[in-house]
Amino acid sequence: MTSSIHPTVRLADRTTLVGKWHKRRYQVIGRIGEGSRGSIYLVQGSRGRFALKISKDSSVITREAKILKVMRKVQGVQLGPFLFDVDDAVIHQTSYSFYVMEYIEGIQIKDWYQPGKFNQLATVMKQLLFQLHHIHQAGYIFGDLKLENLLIDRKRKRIRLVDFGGVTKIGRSVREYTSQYDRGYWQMGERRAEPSYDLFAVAMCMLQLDSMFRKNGATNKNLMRLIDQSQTLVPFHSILKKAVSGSYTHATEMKRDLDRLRFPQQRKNRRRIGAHSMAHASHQASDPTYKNELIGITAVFMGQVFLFVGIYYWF
Amino acid sequence: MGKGTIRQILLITDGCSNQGEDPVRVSEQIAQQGISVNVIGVMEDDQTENPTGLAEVNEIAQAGNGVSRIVYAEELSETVQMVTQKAMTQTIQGYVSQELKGIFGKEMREEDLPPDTKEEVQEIVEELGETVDLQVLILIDTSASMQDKMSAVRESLNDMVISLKSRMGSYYFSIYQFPTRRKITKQLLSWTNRGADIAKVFPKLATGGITPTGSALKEAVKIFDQEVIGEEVDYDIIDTSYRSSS
Ligand SMILES: Nc1ncnc2c1ncn2[C@@H]1O[C@H](COP(=O)(O)OP(=O)(O)O)[C@@H](O)[C@H]1O
Repeated sequence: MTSSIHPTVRLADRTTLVGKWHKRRYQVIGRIGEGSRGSIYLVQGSRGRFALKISKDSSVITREAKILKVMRKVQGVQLGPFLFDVDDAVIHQTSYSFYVMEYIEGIQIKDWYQPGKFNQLATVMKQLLFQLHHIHQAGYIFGDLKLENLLIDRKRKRIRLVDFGGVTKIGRSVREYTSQYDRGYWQMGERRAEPSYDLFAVAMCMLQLDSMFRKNGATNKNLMRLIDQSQTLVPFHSILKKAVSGSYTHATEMKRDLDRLRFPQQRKNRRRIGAHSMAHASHQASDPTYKNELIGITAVFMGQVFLFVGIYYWF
Repeated sequence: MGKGTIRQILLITDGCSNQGEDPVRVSEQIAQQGISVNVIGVMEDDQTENPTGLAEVNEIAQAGNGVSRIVYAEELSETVQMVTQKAMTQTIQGYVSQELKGIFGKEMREEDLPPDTKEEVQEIVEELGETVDLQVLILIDTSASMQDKMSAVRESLNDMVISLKSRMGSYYFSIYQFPTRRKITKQLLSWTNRGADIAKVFPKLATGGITPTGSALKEAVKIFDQEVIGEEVDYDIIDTSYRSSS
């Protein structure tokens, strides 16, 4: 029952874990990550590659696995990494609990995001809000929302939440959080689980992508001023301010505001894409083969669509 | 309502005790009274993980049925809240395993339980963790080397109160420092639940060179004998909440 030590469990590559209850075998391929509550390994199971979380604190494993199970039941929307197995294994005479989940092959938002790509940022944030909405509908909040817990899934081409250790029933107190993303720390509200707690953290995730914010945010606590100073997020300023001040009580409200955003800088890009396709199309159209003609027609069509969209956004 | 109270000590220190009673021994005695002793060791910026000078931190917590963490000052806020939470969960787990012993007729270690049962136990533990009342005695090492960490400590206590406020159960905390110029330990704040009080009493200056951790623990723990207004201290926490929630 002691958990006074750090919960990390070190597993050498090629270590094999055998589940005590379900008898499944997993071989360690390498370490993926390490958090304050346990370690994550990439493992080979009989049915493929998985991510395995193991901790000296078995209550962490039980709790997170249970949450992933609950999330699995949310109708039609995949929220967490899919949970495959929960078990105990003995390593060097000590028994540890672990769970096995879908391995999300993804890149960290920080490595994916390029400042100024407003459209892309808005798109993934809308995906995130959609997922949060469903978590809220199920009666929970995500809790420990931060950039490290957001991955861009290469296979499914969308944003994925990892680390469900902070998920908390609505109405309860939030127990897992990271100061920089916590509205209590910023003195912008209580540490109680309600949808607006997550929405505050969504705003903080976006702000953490701004280098100016990262630099000044560590010392200054005046959020409104910091938002004004985040030069790379200008189109989002009003939404960010609403989110941090608790104006949004539902994820859908914030998502709707993002839906309504228009990004002036991107008009040029769209038109350029349109013009490019047109040039491409006329070249292709003169080609005699049927296949190329088809491509040509498609290209012309696409060109028109882009032009149309461009014009639409212009107004 | 016969809801119980969980009692814990949170010791924040940056070094070894060097005078007075053996803190590990004292901690063990305190644990026997049903009070857990939890310790956060604060490292210097140039110290590496788990420096030997802080080895005692883990021993005190171990003896006191508590939780320990060794961190840098800037991690204090998250750590204080985490340790309080963990310690509480651990205490509740202790009660629950007593209950299980009654049901199964023998000692059940957690690893003996299949995942599904563990999940149910977990649920009970979590429910209780949200609703039980909590009394935390905070004991702060204010020896000279703590000087530049004091603002981080204060911040982390403010932060702890934000977390406690969000729970459903009630809470009280008190603050002691050690050493002071004349005494081993001094009460800065008696049982309260007002976060604003922290700023008023918090020592800006660290004092003294000696670190009489054991004696300070022994002295400070006496505050648990003082009644908190209204609430009786009561250990019978499983029965009532368990049955009413199921
Ligand atoms: N299912 C997964 N697939 C791929 N990577 C993962 C998965 N789960 C976690 N990770 C990676 O491991 C890191 C640490 O795991 P995390 O669960 O956040 O640990 P902790 O909860 O202890 O902080 C994450 O930031 C993420 O990058």
